[in-house]
Amino acid sequence: MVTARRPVDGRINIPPMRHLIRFLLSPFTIIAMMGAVGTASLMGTIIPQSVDKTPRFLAAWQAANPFKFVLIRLLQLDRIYTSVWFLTLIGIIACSLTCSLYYQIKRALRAQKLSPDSKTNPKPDPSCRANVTEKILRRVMRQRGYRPFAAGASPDNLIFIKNKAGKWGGVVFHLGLLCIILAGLWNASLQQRGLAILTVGETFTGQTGKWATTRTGALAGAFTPRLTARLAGFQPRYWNSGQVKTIRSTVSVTSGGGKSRIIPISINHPGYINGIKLFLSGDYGYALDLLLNSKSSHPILAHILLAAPARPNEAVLYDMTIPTTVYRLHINFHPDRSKPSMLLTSPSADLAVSVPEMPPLKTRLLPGQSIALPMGDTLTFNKVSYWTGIIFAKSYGIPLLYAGFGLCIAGAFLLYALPVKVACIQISPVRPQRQRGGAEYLRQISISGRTRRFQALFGLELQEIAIELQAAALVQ
Amino acid sequence: MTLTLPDHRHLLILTAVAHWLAVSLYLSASGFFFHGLRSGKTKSLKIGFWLAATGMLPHTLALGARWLTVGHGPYLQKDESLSVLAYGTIGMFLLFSAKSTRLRGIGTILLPGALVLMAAQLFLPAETGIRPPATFNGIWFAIHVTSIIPAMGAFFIAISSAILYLWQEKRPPSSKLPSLPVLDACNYKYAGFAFILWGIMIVAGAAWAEQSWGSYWSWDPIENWSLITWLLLGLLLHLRRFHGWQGKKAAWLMIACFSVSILTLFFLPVLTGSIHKEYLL
Repeated sequence: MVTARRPVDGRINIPPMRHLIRFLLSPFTIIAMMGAVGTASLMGTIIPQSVDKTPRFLAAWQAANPFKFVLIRLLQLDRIYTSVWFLTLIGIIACSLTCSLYYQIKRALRAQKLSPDSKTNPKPDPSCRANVTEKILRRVMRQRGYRPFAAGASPDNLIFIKNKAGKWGGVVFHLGLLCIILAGLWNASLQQRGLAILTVGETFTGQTGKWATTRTGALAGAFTPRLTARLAGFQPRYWNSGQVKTIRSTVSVTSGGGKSRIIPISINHPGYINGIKLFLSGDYGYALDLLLNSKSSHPILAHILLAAPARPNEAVLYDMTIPTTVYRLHINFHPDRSKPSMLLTSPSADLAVSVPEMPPLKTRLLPGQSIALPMGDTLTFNKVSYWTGIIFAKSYGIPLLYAGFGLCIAGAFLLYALPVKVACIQISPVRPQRQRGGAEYLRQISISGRTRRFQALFGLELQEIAIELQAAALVQ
Repeated sequence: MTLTLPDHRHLLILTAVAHWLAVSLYLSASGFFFHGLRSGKTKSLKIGFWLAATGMLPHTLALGARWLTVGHGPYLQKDESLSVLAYGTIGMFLLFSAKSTRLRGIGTILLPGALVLMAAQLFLPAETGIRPPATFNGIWFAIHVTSIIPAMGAFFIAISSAILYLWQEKRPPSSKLPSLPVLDACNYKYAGFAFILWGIMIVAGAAWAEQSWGSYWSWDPIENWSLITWLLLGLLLHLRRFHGWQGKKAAWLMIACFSVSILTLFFLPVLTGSIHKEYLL
């Protein structure tokens, strides 16, 4: 417990810890932090982030604006969300939330014990006169979702409460936010992700060097999942318009114990094994294997990955030079020669092989067919299959994150959809008086209420309650 | 007995007819709301309410017929998204004002706003051959695209209350309109609802992203701007709660929040290279 001491000279000496807590709990701090996160997000949209950009883009950027580039690098504005200052900001928010939660829980527990009428003083309303009995009153209030509050009950002064759970809204919401932040920090520190590009039938051994790209948390080591994965099958399906409808894969995974499992994965339906999730990347295409049998050297295998075309009637074009040779290839690949389709039903490749100072050799090859090249070599179109990307991801704190999401939504709902409302109704006898309509009113109702939010709307509700009570009394 | 659906051409005609019928009814309802507000006649407000409620029927038919024609829900193309947002906005207003009859005057601002959404639809291409991408499936996706409809409804009610507040503030007090504190409270309440529903949209989107790509947050421009909108709403609610912001200042901040939400939903996907580009066909 942090306490203030009054020294001899009469000035209050506030301990630094209390200063810190005051700072963390100050509404100004909270609002400033929210503004800072918003501004950081805004800057992240405007300033190109290194993680999304290619090295070529970064080099061009540096060449165009060297001073600006250095400044941005220095302030870590090119990697805002992993920068020291952003993480510090998140840390401060987490501390502020923890302190705020502590005091909110204390306040909610204290409020639980108090009578709600301590701040509710009903004012007599001379216009509201009705022969309302306690029974009618209770019925009308029950229909409106109010429950009698035992602590303030007396025959003439009844207290009703609605949405009692609403007082926990702030606690639940902020607890949810704290869970999300902690889960985010936990995952950002330890997560391991890697993308492997595989062709059908190919096996991935989980070694570090085999990843196409990886992303690991600040405290995580190199990602080496102890399993091997073989892409056993790949099946894209298309709409009539040529758009991709679904993509499905089957992966045969062998884990440490030597047991193999076939895991089907598709977009939005990842597979799960040994704490590692396997996601199907949306990227895919055709993998062409061309084999050059040369008289003068060893055979050369060219493994070419082509991206799938945007439309079914489009060919995929590719240019390359076969390494260590003079052959330049221009490939015009059709996945299905029989009809406009992107499925590998009847694949063929139109090849144009160029050698310097010689006319290009043009031919069409089906898988398994060969062609004799000008310098006595042979080029074989060995096979074609699909390739796709498999993302291996080891995430941390995901259940905590979902719990945080749930708490956040529930808390916000309690706060704004179910605010606590306390209605205090006083029934006081009045002198009998003959009204124009003939009714004689013996009682006067005074209604007042208390709520933290939307007071004016609550005022309208109290007016409606008064009208309902009068109507109910007349019916009786 | 087998149920035979009308053919593609008939469905398109039905969509157009039902759409225009709904627009006419909403337009008439706006007229009655405006008249009710100026003359102070509650009967006009009542007629406006019932005309808007009747307009919901052909609007439902138009959306349903289009769904049958294109084979997917109204979430993929801009024109159908605008129509369903107008539908959600008017539906939410009718639900809200069915009970609180005194607040029907808000319809004077809200209905023309919803009509602007429906009118904007006319300037966009209404292609019918487009199919949803492979990622557009699953429960989280459904929640993600559905929650935006009531969220925008709540935003529209809040912004209408804010505009009406600013409009009324400059005039002498009148019994024709809801009082200033009531309009302010209405703005506050629906900003709270927008905060919840926008939050649900972000959460469901994050869960959907986690299922699709294994990462619930990618700091994508649209994700960032959704977060900025949500934070702005949070800021508004905190300023109201702790700094006593109400009335004019709160109304202007609500207008800022709404403008950012419109920027996030409709303009940023066009301006930035976002993973959300897919839905902007």
